[in-house]
Amino acid sequence: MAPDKDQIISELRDRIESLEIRLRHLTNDHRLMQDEHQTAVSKYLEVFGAMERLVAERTEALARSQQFLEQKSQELQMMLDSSPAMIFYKDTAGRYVRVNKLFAETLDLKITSIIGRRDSELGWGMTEHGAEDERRVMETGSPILKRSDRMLASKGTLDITIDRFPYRDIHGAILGVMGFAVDVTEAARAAEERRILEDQLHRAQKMESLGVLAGGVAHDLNNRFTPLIGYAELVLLQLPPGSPLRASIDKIRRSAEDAAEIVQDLLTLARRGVPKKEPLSINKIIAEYLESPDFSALRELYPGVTVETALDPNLLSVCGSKSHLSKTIMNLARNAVEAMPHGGTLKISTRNRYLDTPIPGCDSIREGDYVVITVADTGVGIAREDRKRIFEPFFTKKAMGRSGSGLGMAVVWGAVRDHDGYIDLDSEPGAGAEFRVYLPATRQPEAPPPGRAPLTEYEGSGQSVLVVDDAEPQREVASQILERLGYKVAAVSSGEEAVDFVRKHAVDALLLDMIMEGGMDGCETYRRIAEFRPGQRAVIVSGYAETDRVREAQRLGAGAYVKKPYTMENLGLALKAELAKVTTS
Amino acid sequence: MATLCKGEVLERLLDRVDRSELSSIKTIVAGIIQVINDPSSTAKQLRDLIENDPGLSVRILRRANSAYYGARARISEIQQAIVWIGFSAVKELALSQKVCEIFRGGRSLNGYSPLELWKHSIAVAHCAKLIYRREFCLSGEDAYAAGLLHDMGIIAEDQHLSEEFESVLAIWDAGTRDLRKAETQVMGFDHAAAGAEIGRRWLFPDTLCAAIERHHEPRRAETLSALTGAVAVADFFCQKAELGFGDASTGDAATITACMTDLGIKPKAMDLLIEDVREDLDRMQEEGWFDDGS
Repeated sequence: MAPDKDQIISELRDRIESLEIRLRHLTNDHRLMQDEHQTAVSKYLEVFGAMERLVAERTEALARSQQFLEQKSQELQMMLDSSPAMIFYKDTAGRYVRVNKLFAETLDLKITSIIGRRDSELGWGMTEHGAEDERRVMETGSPILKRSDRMLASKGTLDITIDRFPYRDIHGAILGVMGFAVDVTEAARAAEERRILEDQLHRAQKMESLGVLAGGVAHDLNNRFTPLIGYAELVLLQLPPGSPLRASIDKIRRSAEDAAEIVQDLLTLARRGVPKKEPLSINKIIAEYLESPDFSALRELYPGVTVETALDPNLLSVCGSKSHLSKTIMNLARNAVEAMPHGGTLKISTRNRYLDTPIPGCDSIREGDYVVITVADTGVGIAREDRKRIFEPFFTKKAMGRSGSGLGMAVVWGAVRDHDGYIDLDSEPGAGAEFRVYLPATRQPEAPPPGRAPLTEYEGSGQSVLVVDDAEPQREVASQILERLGYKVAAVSSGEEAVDFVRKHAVDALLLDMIMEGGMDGCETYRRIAEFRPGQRAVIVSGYAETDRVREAQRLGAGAYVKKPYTMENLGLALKAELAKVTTS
Repeated sequence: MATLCKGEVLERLLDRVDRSELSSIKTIVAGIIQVINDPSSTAKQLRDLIENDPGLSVRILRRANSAYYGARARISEIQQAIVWIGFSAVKELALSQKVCEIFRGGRSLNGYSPLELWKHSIAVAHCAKLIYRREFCLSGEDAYAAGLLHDMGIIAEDQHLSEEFESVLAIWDAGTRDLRKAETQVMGFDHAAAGAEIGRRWLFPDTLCAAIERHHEPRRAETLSALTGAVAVADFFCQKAELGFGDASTGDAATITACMTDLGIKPKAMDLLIEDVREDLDRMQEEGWFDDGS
């Protein structure tokens, strides 16, 4: 049994050893697994931490490419916005994908409110050919270029030229349509304005040449009228009050005066007839005209016409010629009334206006205060094609011979120009016409009106006067008038003779014609005489208006200038004033 | 003469290995070994290493999903494998699957076959790891690597010195059954020296190279390293248990016994460990780990 016992003990020892080893092995394994579990947890975090980093990296990369795209997009938008054209991209469904600033501004919409919408949703009809053309561009894939179209924008309909291209992706597939539109409204307007200006220039040139012609005729006519009026006046003075000839002679005189007025119109056209300017009240001129026998006679002919006025009581003065402005108003009013054969309303109004932008039909204006005279009628109106010609001399639609010379509107135009003013008109055939005259205003008060002087006011008292004139009738009538006014008169027919005469006989005053055929003119004559008779008193007469030669003579010491044909009154007053200057100096 | 001769042949072998398919495992194997030996290495490094080799990744995932690892969830990514079967297990898998590549193909000759050698290498790796874990209470990852690679010299010889290796096998089969002797007789060096040289060229850690070099004579070094000892003991017991190809006679038991005494391993403990190794290998066998071409 002993060996068995030993055997059993040995086996037990073996098993115990095995169990001990097993226990040690399991204990070690357990310990390691605990450690490894710990490690696994930390590795888990490490791995997933890395994933988070990866996610962060990818997110950052995405953000970077997003940023890059945004930057590219911004650059594109800047390029689009800096274009002078209106640019839009639409998708195939007609929704706006991208538009530039100008496009949005033209529609007066925000870019963001356009993107993603269709034309119909924007309540805007795009263009006349838009829908059709865009469909075709997307169907065919070929652009439609330089299409003239019209576009309804916030400020009205625009004339545009538009290019439409297919909008493709990088593979060439059509995504929609791109449009580049240029507003040509301004260009069209500019071309129209240019045409108008050319017309105006043409008209001005035409009137200028007509004016030169008229001016030449006027000079001669004035010389003819001087004796006509002068002798008539002299005859009237000599006729007894009850003479049956008085009426006839008076008619001759008045006719001659009327004719002289027409000649004055011609001179106005020739731009040589600007008499001295003085501050004037336009309201007063209008009122005077409306009370004149001339206007009364006109109203008798057109009983159906009512007259309305709206005159600004605070109207500024205008520096100008009373006779010219009066004639301007008269011509405008007469034309207006004559345009209403079946009755209507003539409305004359005045107001102040500050102009800083050109008025229609004028290329440029001088900025400043203006007095605006508006003469409107409700008559037949003026046809578009006539509007250009209405200011031309001898253009008339009136029955020839019934009234007017065809110079009326030409005189208006010339007078307005001579006053540095502007004129424009609105008219539709059958709907009347409205003329507006713009005259530069002045802050100077109106001068007191000259009173009509009695004969005694301008009579001389035996002073000696030398009449210098190359025209014999002129010399005669001047001599007679001056004698009648109580002067001692001598007459010569040229400047040379005048110099000789004055060298021998001193005279109190010269009556000096400015323009003489051949030899010295009035200015030269005066200069020679002044050499040995310094301060020689002289009155200058001329059929032309005040010219440089007149002003030169005046600079040398000559006195007042009297326009031919003169009346006894204005010649007498001028001479008396000149002589009065002598006695006081 | 002998040394010169030995040097020449070894140099030739090493050159051929450098230019061969064998070195294709170098990067990953060296990388995993570095991860094992560097405490500061991260799971991410391991993952990146494995994911750089798509073929390896696929094989690791297949193995990781096998019953052997008993993962609780379907593993479809390396990082999931690291989480579910563990950092250590993935290192082990990666190493075994990569090293496995060089055991493929080859020929069976005179009782030698690469597949049997592979099975032996896995067995030694397992065994060395268990010795480390259970006897030394250490993780044993380096022991696993050393076990897996201890006979890589044989593979090199088979593939790159085939004529010489045929002679070696002939001598071995005919008489001594001592491969090292036959190798030394034919080439002037043995597979342990060749494997260690390759390991040095691949910049494996010194302890690993020493373990490969000394796995048949662990006590020749001045001091016995645990790694060398564990690999030597594992090699001896696996051959004794006939787990895979055996390259040496089961002789020299005295050296192993002395070695076990030095390491404090009782024979009884080895009996128990070998049983576990056998069980694991059987399970692996069932799952097809050692089928040709895997």
